[in-house]
Amino acid sequence: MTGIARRFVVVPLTLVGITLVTFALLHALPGDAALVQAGTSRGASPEALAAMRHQYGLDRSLPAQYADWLARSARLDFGESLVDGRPVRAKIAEALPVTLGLALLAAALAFGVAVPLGAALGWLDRAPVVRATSSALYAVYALPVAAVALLVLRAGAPWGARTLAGMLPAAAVLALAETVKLARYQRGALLDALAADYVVTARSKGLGAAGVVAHALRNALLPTVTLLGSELPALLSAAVIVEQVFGLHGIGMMAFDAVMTRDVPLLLGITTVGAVATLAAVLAADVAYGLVDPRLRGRSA
Amino acid sequence: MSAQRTLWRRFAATPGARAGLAILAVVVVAAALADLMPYGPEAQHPGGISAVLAPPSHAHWLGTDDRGRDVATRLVHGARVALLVGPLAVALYVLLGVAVGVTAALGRRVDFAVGRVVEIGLMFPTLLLLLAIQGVTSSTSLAEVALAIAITQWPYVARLTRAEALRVAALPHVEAARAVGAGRLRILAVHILPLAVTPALTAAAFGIGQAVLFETALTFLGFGVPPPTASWGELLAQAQASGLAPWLLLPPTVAVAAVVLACNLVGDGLRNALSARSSGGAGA
Repeated sequence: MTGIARRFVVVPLTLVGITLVTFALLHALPGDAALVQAGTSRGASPEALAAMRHQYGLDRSLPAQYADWLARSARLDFGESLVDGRPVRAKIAEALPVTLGLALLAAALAFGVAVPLGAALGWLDRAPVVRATSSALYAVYALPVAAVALLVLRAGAPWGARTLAGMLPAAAVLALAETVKLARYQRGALLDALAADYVVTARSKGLGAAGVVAHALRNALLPTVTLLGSELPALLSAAVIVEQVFGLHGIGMMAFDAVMTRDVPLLLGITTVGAVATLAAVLAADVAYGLVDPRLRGRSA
Repeated sequence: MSAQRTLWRRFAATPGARAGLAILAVVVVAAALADLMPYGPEAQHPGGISAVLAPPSHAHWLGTDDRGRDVATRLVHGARVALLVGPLAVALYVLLGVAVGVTAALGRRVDFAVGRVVEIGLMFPTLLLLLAIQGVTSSTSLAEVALAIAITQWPYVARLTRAEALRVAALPHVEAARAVGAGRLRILAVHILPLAVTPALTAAAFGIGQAVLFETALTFLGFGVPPPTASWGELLAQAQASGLAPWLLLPPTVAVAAVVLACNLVGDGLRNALSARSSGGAGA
């Protein structure tokens, strides 16, 4: 089995594994999962509790309960929110566009800045300005997201924005760490490509600087494209903080609220969706890799 | 002795590696001497309402927080939290990650299983999983926060160790051990593990910085180290809650960034020293 074909065999296994983790989390709850799922933790009579256990299948064996959990997860049915009783699926669907917009904006910013920046750093190689910039990038990479978000907010960025333009400062904060990572990666990739035989040949035939970079850039883009795909979990993580600081009602803010209110069904629903989205992004990156690199195209068949 | 000296020379030759060590040393000393600060970490200044959220002054170099506590004192005490949670979390997940990752060298089926488990672990966005763990367990002690971070991070070490273990398993000395009849577990423990652990050591240095970032994020959101314990994340949360006062916002920002930067620089140095060892060692 090669790359992509292998992935599609393994993906169902990974999906099952994700539901196993959330199932384990549900059963790691102190006390009775029945009470949490039923949404009533206090004041229920023993008979009512027993009826509730039966209704939610909690009097059955663990494997039977897991089978039920798996079947429900497959339909993206995570039950109802304990706070307002609305289906978790509907609540997530409402918040998803905000986070998706934020993440895509951040990814576009990170990619748009990092590729030219990394390429420039690679092209100038050992110039003093490169060393200074690299050091600065390294320091920026160490900043906590919350602090950067608060600093940007203090500088006058809007709070609780509803438009994409209003979300731009938040997206820039979200993009910061990724930009540094991608730029460093892009620089290394370009240095590798510049040292490759085909670029040396092109140079020796008299190709100018711009032509050489364009030549090398195409291959140097490969690792960057894949990296962007595998960076979705980091983006989603940082989104929790950025959304909370900038007052954006996306998935991250919803996860924050869910912990605040101990809304376990909502919390596990968000965790599952986050993991599945990551899996999708990794697969998309694989496919994109195949599109950029023609050598990989035929192999998946 | 000379091998150690070579390692040190390669480490020290890495730009910034020694500066990273120096920064960490300063933070460790500050944390150790935190009790020498003029105020207690939870002592509230007896100046009434005027002493609350006071800007930096001669008495309070970094001002006071929303309960009139000395920010400089709480900043120094916060270093203790970072230096406890970071290394504890990393120690836990490096042990687990290496233990799981190295078993991949036992055979193709074990490797497949390890690969799948690790991949599943890598799918969860760290902070979402951390929130889910904190949401269902409501754990708040330092050790529990470190454990939660470890649960989310071990797959990254396992992935590194797995790749290295598979590489080492194909080296001639392992084949030789197999040829003379050494058992599978003995080969794993004696001939593969000591070499396969190298990338995990480098990852551990970077990991301490990452763990400090995660602890800061969790505590900032209110689900990490609980008040009134002084921590950098709590200072940031105070900055947010009290109108973004710069004396509450900047000190923890600089402190976290300095520790994370130092860990990354030391990690770079370790990587250079150790990778030079493994590639040089093969030829020697």
